[in-house]
Amino acid sequence: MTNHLTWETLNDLVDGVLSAEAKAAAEAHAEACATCATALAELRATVSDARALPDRVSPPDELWTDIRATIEASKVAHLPPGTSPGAATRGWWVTPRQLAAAAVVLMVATASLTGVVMNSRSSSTMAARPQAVTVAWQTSEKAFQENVLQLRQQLEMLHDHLSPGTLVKVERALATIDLAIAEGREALLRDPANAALSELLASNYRQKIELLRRVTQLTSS
Amino acid sequence: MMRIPVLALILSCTTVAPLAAQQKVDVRRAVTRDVYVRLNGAFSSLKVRGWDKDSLLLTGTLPKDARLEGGVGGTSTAPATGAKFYVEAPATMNATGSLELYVPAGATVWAKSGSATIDVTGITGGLDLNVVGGAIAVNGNPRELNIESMDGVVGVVGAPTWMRIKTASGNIAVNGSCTDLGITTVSGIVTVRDGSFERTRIESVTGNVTFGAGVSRAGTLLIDSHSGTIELQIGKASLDIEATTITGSITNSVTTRRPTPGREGRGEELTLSLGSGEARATLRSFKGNIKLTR
Repeated sequence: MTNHLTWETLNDLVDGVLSAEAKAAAEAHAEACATCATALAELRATVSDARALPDRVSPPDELWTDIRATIEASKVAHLPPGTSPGAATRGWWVTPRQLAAAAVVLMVATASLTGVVMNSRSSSTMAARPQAVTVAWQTSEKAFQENVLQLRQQLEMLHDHLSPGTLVKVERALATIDLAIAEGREALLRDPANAALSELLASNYRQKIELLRRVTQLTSS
Repeated sequence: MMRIPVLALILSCTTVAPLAAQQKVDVRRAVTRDVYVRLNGAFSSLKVRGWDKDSLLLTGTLPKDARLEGGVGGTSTAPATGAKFYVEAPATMNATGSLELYVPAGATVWAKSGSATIDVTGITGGLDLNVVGGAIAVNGNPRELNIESMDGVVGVVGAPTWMRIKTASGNIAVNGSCTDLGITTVSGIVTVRDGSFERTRIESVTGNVTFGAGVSRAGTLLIDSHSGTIELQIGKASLDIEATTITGSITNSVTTRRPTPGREGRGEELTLSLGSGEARATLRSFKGNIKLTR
């Protein structure tokens, strides 16, 4: 058959914006024309798939902050050796390697948490499989704990560079977050398909990673 | 990538004149309108002012035993594109230095100190400010604004395009507008008022959050808190609202719609559509309460 339906007509048909008369004509043509019927089916499948995607996928703020820090660091005036002896002895300069390491840790953590959140989102429509959700959480939590451990080790190394007052503030904030995580985790174990709960718990996880990252960067510049 | 010739650093323009128990700082230099300035170390007060001049001026006083390191990059004949200063003080000394930095309004300023008061006005470039304690106040419309503080309070008045504020226990107050706002705090009290916000995400663990500003058409507002109270002062906003608590309660003073019990009878949920609902607000709290008010 010649004179196939145009791309615009196919799109308008799928979007439901054709007039009744035009719609009837287009559908009649698609019934008789295998080429247009295939194109129409593919288009409908694409639209359907697109609608099933999450409506928002936001990049993590922390990632941009680190990328930007790396960019900005390269724009700084580099002083000749010896002009800033204090900077060397007190470790105020963050190296590109340290920044990259922090970015990697954060990316891994964010990826883990994104997995947690995405799993929890899909779990809201799959309440019959709570065990699978729990397993997904366990996997993500393991990755999270590993990241926390790495940052904790960095913090230990920097311990002497931070004032006692700052350390008290940090530990107090971490204790607050840990309590929230414990409460959220306990609730999620009781109701593993609760999407809002998953999001709140993921938020607290992010807070802990982010706080540790900030503290480890307090001694750098 | 912009790099400044190391050998061309002009450090001679940095003068530190001794005063009684203090020393005076006076650095002056021609710079580009988008100069990048980095300042950190042991100072207790920093004022940053954006001005309509192609020059940088750093003045103030430092304790006698402190040292100002660094300087302005570039050649002596061309305006500098970057500057870096570091205030070095003996570990036993409390930071008492007081500095004022004047830069072209379009400059990007990065400042960091332990405990300090940082006050910024008139910058339209970028700002990256970091303190442990003290306070940070920003007035104006920087293109990018990034603030990190442990327990220092943060206040912003203006309309940055992109803004991120993170504190542990420091309170945060934002008055103005923003296209992309992100606030994170552990226990600080968060207040957002006045203008219109397009994309906003606020996360707190125990801190209370009050959002009393507008949400742009087709904008999004997301507030998560573990145990802090979330108050959304809606005004005349046109919003689709979805509020959820795990164990807390929801109070709706805007319409007659009552919240329904949450999953498994715990907590509450409320879905509300006000006006044409072109913007969306998602409020979630674990055990804090959620209030919707006019």
